[in-house]
Amino acid sequence: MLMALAACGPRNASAPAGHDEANSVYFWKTVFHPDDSELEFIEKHDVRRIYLRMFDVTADRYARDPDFRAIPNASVRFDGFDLGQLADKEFVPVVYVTLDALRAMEGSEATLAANIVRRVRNMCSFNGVPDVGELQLDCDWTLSTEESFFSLCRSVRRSLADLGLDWRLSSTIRLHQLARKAPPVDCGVLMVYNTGSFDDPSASNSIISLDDVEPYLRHLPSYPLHLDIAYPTYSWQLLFNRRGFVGLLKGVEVTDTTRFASSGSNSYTALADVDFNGRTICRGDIIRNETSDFKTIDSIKSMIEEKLPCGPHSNILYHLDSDNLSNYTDDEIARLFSTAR
Amino acid sequence: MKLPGFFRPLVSLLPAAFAAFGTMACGPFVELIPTPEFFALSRPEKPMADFEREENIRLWQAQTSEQIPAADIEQAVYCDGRAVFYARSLFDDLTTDNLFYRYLRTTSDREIADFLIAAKELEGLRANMRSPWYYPESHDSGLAPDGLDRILDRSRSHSDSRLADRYALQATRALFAAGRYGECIEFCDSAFADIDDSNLMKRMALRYAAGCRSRLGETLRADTMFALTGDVNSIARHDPAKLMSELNPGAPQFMEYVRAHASDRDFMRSMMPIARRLTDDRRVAHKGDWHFLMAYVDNKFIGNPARARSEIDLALQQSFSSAELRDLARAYRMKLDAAAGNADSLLDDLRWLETMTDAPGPDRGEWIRRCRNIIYEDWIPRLWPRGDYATAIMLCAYADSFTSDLYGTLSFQMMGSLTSERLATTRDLMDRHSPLFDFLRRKSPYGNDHFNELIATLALREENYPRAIAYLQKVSDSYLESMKINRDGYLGRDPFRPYRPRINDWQASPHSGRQAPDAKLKFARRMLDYKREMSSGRTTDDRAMARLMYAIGRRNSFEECWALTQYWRGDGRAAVGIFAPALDYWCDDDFSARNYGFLYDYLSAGGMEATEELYRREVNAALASFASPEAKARAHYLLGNLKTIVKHYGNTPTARHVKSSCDNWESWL
Repeated sequence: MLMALAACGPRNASAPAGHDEANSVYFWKTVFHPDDSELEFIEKHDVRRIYLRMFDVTADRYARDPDFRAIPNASVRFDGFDLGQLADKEFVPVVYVTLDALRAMEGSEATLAANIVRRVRNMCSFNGVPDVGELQLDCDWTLSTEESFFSLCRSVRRSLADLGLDWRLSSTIRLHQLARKAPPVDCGVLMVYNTGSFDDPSASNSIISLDDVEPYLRHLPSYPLHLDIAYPTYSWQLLFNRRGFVGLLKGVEVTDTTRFASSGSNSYTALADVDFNGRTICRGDIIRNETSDFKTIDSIKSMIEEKLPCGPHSNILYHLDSDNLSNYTDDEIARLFSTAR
Repeated sequence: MKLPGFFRPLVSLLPAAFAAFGTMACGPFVELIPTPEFFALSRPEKPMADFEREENIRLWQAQTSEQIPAADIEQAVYCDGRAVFYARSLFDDLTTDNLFYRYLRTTSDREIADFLIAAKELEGLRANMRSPWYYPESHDSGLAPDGLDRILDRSRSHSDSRLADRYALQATRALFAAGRYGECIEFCDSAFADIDDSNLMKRMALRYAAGCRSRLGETLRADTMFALTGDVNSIARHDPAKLMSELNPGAPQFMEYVRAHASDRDFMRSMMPIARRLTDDRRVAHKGDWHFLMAYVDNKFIGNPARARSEIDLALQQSFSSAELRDLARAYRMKLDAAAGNADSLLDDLRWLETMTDAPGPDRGEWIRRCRNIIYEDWIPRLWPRGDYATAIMLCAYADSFTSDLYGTLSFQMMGSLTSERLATTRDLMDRHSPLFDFLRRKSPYGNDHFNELIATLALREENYPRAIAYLQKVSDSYLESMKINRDGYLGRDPFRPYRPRINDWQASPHSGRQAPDAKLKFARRMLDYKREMSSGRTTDDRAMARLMYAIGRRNSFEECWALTQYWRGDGRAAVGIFAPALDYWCDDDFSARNYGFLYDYLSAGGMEATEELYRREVNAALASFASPEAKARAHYLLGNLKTIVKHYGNTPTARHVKSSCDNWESWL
């Protein structure tokens, strides 16, 4: 008994009713059409909750109607996918709110909330998204936008009630947000990815790094909100030239020594101009390979679980993509989902 | 990018505006008058919905009471939202001055109130669908299924009511908004089968049906329906005007469309055969519109003003689709009359035009521009070269009367470009009584003081000092004191002091700031004295000194002290100087130079160079004619040639004065 208590932090934030511990994944593409291997992954690993990005909210600087200074963008499409195949899964619609949109609607958060809730409700209804009991807001709010975001959360709750929806409201929590007040939501998801600056040429890995994560974890034991934890399973390549960050790439064969020379632990310098997918990687440009290394994730996961308040929580993989997930063994995936402490 | 017609004149003015401001040292600034429209729309094209709105309001008047103002109906039917309408139409305790609402309440006309509440409900749903946040709730329809069904059921249940056509239109709109295009076409066909084609609701519904066909890929059929309903801007084929002329030539939207494209030369030329055909088309009630179009194209784009004149006469004998077009046609006839030199109806036309320029309202400014355009662009270029200065100036002053500026006007510039004798003669002609002149004189700002002072100034320019004195003596002191050139100190400088040449730099010369209302008269008298002295002076030296002073005074009166002899130094192309006239840029920068032909053209004629050359010649001749060394020394002292005095006339009293008064005179050597 004492051993068990010592193995995890204080018990001070329990999961809201109906929010059970469940293996979960984020789905962050613009077309929801999981391929066979992704469906197989869901079944094999008993994924029971899918966080589905519905749309982004972006600012429209040219809007004449003040209510439309923030508008939906990049809505997810289903393109004929039969959601009946996932009828036994719980879906959590997620809306990503950009800071520009939040600033554009400052003072009119209630309008924005009503728009978001009604649209998510309609998208779920129209597309037959099964078993929806929660709405999640994703926003990189900072000190200057904290009050506006919190106001948005409160308004979303009211809008849910106005439409007769008994959904929970959750929010993503970035590491730096752990040091601030918790938003007025039922529960949160701690994002343990994008921990560094991807446009910083001197960073070693912007996806996940022990050094980047560790300083924030001291806030975890006293955080007053039930948290689930999202870990990355993606990789990308970052292209830099002399002026700095150029863009994201995927699939460049940086190990081809006739074209690239290693210039750091995960950096490669182009030896000549390289044509890639219609663009040119110029001689001297640097590509940084960034991956979500299992060992790193596992170490961080252990640290988090030591500090996480007791009680059930869920682990979530970001995100459901067969290419990325194929980099992990079944055991590794099982370990990432595991919440045993 | 092609600009809408009504923007183009403004844009074309911009280079001229900047060019003009670039040359201006000070005000008054050149007045820029956007070229007015005579056939093209001088406002944005009216959308289809506005045509329908006006007609619908008239229908509501007919269905309720003709005593209800259109504005009240517009407020209730188009502006108020569902909740406001509901409350105002049903609750007696809400006070309102709106007669439409009062009609609904006093007559308890629930049928109309219920219909409008339902229509506003549908509009609310349609507005939601246009929102960027809109996402349908179900696959059944874009509208909430129960909402759409309710609207359709309601429409069917009112098929026998007096509002059956209105309910049918609502159902059509609902089906269209829901994206149920096939159903929408079927419903429209059946619901309106027994309703006359002229019915507004049917025409509006057919537009939705046409939109359905367009979305279903039936473009040809859709175009035909759009043409039949007047929705010319929705026609997909490349020549919508031709289709409209064949299927629905009498639609008011057709002429609106043509006028919206009236600055497009190719389009307008392509309309000529169509217009010609339509003037023989029995379906076309308002043939005046199309004769007017032909007159406009003939004159503006084909260059045949004679044929245009015949066409405009034909147009004015026919019916027009609007009073506005008839008025424009009459104004355009004034331009064509000017081109033909036909002043037979000028007075009547001006009297009529004044009713337009005096009428308060949003169009007043454009009518003033039209009036000024007809006079500046058409009449003046016709009258001025013929030497009919009196009529030209009277007309011009009439057009100028729309500005508050007295000197910065074209009529003042025109008078200032005549000789003093011609202006005096012209003034006598302008004083004659005739119906036209009496009409124009009412607006003329010029009185005796203006004419006398200006004739005197022209005489000074001509070195006719006796005439200048004679006219200046007639000018009142109060007028001389009130003149801008006096108040701003342009007359305060000594005209008999030699100044350094200021070729190409005259604008920058500083003025004294001293007021001298009698400066012109004093100058004229002194110049007259010097002129007499030149021939009748007592000694050779006296005559030589008079010649020198006359040369200095003459040159200064054109240059350093230019305000003595002129109000403007422009050449008709460039507006320069403080009294630059307010030229209007109708067509291009050189319009006034080419068309007004000012007689006095100081800059273009090389006046500045000629003045300096004459000055040099006269000064040298005067210096050569002095007899005594002391007189020569005094002349050089006057001219500032101290070095010459000391070097050549060192023993004279003037040389001794120079040496004793100036410690560092040696430095001049």
